[in-house]
Amino acid sequence: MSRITSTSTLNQVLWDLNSNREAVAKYSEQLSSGLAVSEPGDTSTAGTVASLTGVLQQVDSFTTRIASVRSQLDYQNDILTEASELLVRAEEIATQLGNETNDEAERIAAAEEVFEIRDHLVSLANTTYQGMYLFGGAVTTSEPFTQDTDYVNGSDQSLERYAYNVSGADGADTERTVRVTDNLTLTVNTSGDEIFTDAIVALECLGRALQGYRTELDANGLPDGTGTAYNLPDDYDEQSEDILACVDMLDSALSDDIKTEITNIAGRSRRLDTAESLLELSELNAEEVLSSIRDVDMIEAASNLSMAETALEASFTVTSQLLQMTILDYI
Amino acid sequence: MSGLVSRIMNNAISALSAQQSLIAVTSNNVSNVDTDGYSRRTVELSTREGASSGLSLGNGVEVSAVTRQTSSFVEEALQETTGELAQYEVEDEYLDRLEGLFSFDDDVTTIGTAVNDFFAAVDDLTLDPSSSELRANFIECANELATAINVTYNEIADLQTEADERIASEVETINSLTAQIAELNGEIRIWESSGDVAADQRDQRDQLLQKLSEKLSFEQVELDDGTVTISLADGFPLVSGTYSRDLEVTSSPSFTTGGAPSLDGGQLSYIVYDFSDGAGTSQIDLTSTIAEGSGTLGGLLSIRGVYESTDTSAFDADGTLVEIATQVEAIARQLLTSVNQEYAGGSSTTSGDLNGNTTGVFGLFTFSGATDADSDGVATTADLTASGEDNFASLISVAISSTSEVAAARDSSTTATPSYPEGDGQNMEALSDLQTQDFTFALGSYSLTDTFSGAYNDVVNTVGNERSKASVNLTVASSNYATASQRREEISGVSLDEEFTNLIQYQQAFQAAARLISVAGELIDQIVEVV
Repeated sequence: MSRITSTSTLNQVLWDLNSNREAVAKYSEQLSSGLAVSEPGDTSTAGTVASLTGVLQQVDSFTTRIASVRSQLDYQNDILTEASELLVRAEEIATQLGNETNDEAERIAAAEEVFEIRDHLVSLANTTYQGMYLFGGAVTTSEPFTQDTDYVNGSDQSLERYAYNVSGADGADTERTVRVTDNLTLTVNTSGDEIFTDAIVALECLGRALQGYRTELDANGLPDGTGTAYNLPDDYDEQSEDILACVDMLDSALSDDIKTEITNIAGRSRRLDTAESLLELSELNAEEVLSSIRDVDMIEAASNLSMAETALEASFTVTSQLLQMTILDYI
Repeated sequence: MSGLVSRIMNNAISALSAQQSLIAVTSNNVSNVDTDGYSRRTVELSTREGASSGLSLGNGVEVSAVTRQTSSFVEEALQETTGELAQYEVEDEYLDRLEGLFSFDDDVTTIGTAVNDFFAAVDDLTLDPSSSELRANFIECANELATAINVTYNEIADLQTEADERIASEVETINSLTAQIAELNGEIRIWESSGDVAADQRDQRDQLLQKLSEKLSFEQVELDDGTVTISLADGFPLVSGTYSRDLEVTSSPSFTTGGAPSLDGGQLSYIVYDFSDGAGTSQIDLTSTIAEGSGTLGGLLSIRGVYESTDTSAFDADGTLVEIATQVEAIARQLLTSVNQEYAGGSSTTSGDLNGNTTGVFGLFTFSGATDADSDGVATTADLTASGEDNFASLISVAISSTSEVAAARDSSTTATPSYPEGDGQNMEALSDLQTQDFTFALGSYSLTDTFSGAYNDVVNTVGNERSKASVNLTVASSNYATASQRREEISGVSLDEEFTNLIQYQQAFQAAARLISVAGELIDQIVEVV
């Protein structure tokens, strides 16, 4: 028979009380925080928890970035849609004035509208988004299209051509690529030269033709200012042909440049959608796994807590009874 | 006849005296019911031997021995579990303090969240490289990362220094304990040479041994003269007879010239014994032996790390804090080399800032005294080595402070004056690729090929494993200790039930002996009357 002393009883009772208290503290903490794992030592898979919380943090920032990219792309899309409407209107003017019989004054009046359309298009090409010129490549702090002072045609300022990156700054054709998921990067801009230059040149040719001037293009495909005036009415037919030729130019600028870019942007938006749903999926997965490791099963924790409390109360009862029992009361 | 009566009288007196001894020992047991380390005493009675002539009528009773109820096996088991408990308590305490640095709490900035924030800032900047807000955010996040690494590393290094200081104070306690044990050895030897049992001194010595086992592991042998010899696992004697050897703590022992570098750039201490007599020093290293054992010292050393003679840097030492610090340091070194290399434009291009300046070698992450020592134009491990520094995690900082200094742009042309347009984010795009790229994080005995996030996750894994190991060890040790101390209580503890039951028994025996005396008295009176 083993000897039980009052000290060993006391020690045992204290040990039990302490472990019951610990259990109550542990389960109440779990219930109040909802977390079974809040520090690395709480789990045998600390690395996994860290990597999953990392994934969630990344998904968060990727999602925010996708929203920024999307809003930038949507904005570009709006601008290009407006630009394409402008070109359609210019085509209408060219078709109408190139085919129908009309006098010089009517053509000059139409030229004014065409130059207005060009100016409008230039202002679209010079759009800023949050202070950044969208279509200037890496040159984002100055207007990508400016009037080229090298080219003067008479005294009419409106005839001065607009050209891309007149100052010749470096990086005007640089694209920006943004990471939107772990393994997907997306180009977010195209240089304005590719999108707008042909359209602007077409509009300038059309405007000049309506105004009564031929247009010669330089090596870069820009009006070089050497085009001579039509000798009207003798050159009337030639003028009409030139006007109609501008329809083709406008048409190819519209379909090859602007609509192509709209399609590109739509494609990027679709990839953003895919990226977003992939991110949602990986977020869901990460949350699910993380939750299974980290979160408390509330029902289990609650029932554990109530069991631990019962055990603690029982310990109290036993302790008070045991401590009061002494042989001295009986001798 | 009168001879018989006087024999009755003598027997009764021997009984009275024996019962008084019993009651006295009982009272001593009861008094010491709560005394730590007290072993209950029991009294052994035996019949008193007298001169044998004719029939043996008996000569009464005598106290033949007062025995300490104790078992050396149980005492040693208790010492062992005490040592383990103390060791794991220390390990658990330090890891508990450490793990907060790697918390999963969303509000806590860790190296892991800082790495993610840094790359998010890089990616955000690619969207609008000319934005000064995004540039400021990039600098802020780079600073956040450098600071997170500084803070984490310094906290680990501080814990190491603290453990080192505690080792010194533990060694002082050990010296005082061994000195007291040696002194008690002397008393026990003198006392017991006359055949007595030095029960009180033995109790005290057992308790000191218990306290010593809380500090370190040792072997003990009790010699015939009652003294106990205490030696370390490798045979080094701490106490022999009445002599004890004082251990010393020093960071510049005689057996090594370089010392043991600590994580904060200082020196770790060795636990040594000096054989020389004041003249010069002739020390031997006991650190590894003590580290292999249990006790507070075993725990502190396994946390702090032990530096072997073949080790060459602070990260070669073998210890939990060193292991974790090594992983953090490996991340810092990778930032200083790989990330700087990419930030400077990678292998074939240059990068530059808004002021038109081309990025230098330590262009993003740097440390005081960073230079391109081998003049190869890139930040390499060789440059780090040449700096003479060791703990880059504590030194790492960000080289740029103004938004115009952020080199977001790249130029791949070979022109004499490269240009870096404000809207060019190609350098950030290249930097962004690093977040999914695997690097080899290698330092000391640590080697891992993973991404930056992966390297941090590995640190967390190490911390988590060490902490859960320590918790489990602590739980097991506590339970073992409780069992061992219950076992000791079972053998050596005072049971009041037992003592009071005995007391009544002794009291009755005493009354019986007293009655014998009165009977003997009556007998003598009757004889006197007859006469």
